[in-house]
Amino acid sequence: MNSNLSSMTQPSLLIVLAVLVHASFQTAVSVLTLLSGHSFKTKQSQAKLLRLSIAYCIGAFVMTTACVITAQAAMRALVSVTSFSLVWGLLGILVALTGVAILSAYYRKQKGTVLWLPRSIAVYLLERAQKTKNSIESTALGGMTVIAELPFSAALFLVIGALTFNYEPTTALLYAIGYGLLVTSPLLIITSLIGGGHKISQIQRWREQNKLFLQYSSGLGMLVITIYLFVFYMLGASS
Amino acid sequence: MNSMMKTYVVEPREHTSVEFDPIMLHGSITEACLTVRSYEGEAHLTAQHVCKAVIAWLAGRTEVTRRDIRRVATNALTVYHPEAAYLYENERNII
Repeated sequence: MNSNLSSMTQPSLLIVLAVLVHASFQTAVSVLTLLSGHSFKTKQSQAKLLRLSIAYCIGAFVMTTACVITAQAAMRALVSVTSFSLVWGLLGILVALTGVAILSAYYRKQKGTVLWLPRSIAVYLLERAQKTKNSIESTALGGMTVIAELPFSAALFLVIGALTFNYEPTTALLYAIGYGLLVTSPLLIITSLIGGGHKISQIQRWREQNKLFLQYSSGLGMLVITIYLFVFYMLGASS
Repeated sequence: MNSMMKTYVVEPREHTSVEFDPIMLHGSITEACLTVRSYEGEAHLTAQHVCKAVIAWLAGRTEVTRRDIRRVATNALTVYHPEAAYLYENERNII
């Protein structure tokens, strides 16, 4: 059954869509902005700021890849005890609910780019960003932000897990690494912008001006993924 | 007479008030300027100008809120360094 599904599904478009949606999430970008801002405040050298930022990106990449691998294992276990069409159906519902949540609550209705995060977690991430002094702490902070984003990103991880767990282990791992790299690419872009001399205020201003675009495009992207899952995967698996 | 009056910054949530500390304000403004890559001397000079403007505004006022000070300081900072003013105003609205 799994091999039939593997030949039936054409996951490339769905993976690209999931990457685009996931890459537009902003928690990791916010924390990177705070980390860079604090480095300037404390008059750290440009080289140290670059080290911290790259370490942060590595942490986010490793945790994202680990989440995809975990999702692949979870899907492998789930499919062994239930039907594939049911799994796709549940995933579709989860993605749809997440999409609605993003559309309605990703940003708080106030000035700036204040996210949905519970204030205690936001304050914790803010304090961690301010206390980060070396690359190891920065790597851990990068991983932590991926975990903090899980309420919104878990559905995407599960979709990618369901699409790729069937492949050979090496191919599945490559998909996980590729996904991690692409999702982390906005962080790398911001790191290079800051390294290239752009001011944090310019980046933050751009984020604030485009926050609704990012929110609606990622929320609607989730809904498109839902339709795609129902039409091409759930109905395809049951027929 | 007015210049001798102390100004207290009210903390509405905690029902307390603390005496206005220009050094703390100077530090915050300097940090905002450094965050947008100002030179250190420029940052301190800007902070001095902003502190003067805020102190002038405080004359005759015995109680203000942190939000008042932030608003007045942002307005003054916008004159000298708009990018720093933007970050100073929004530093709590990033995450």
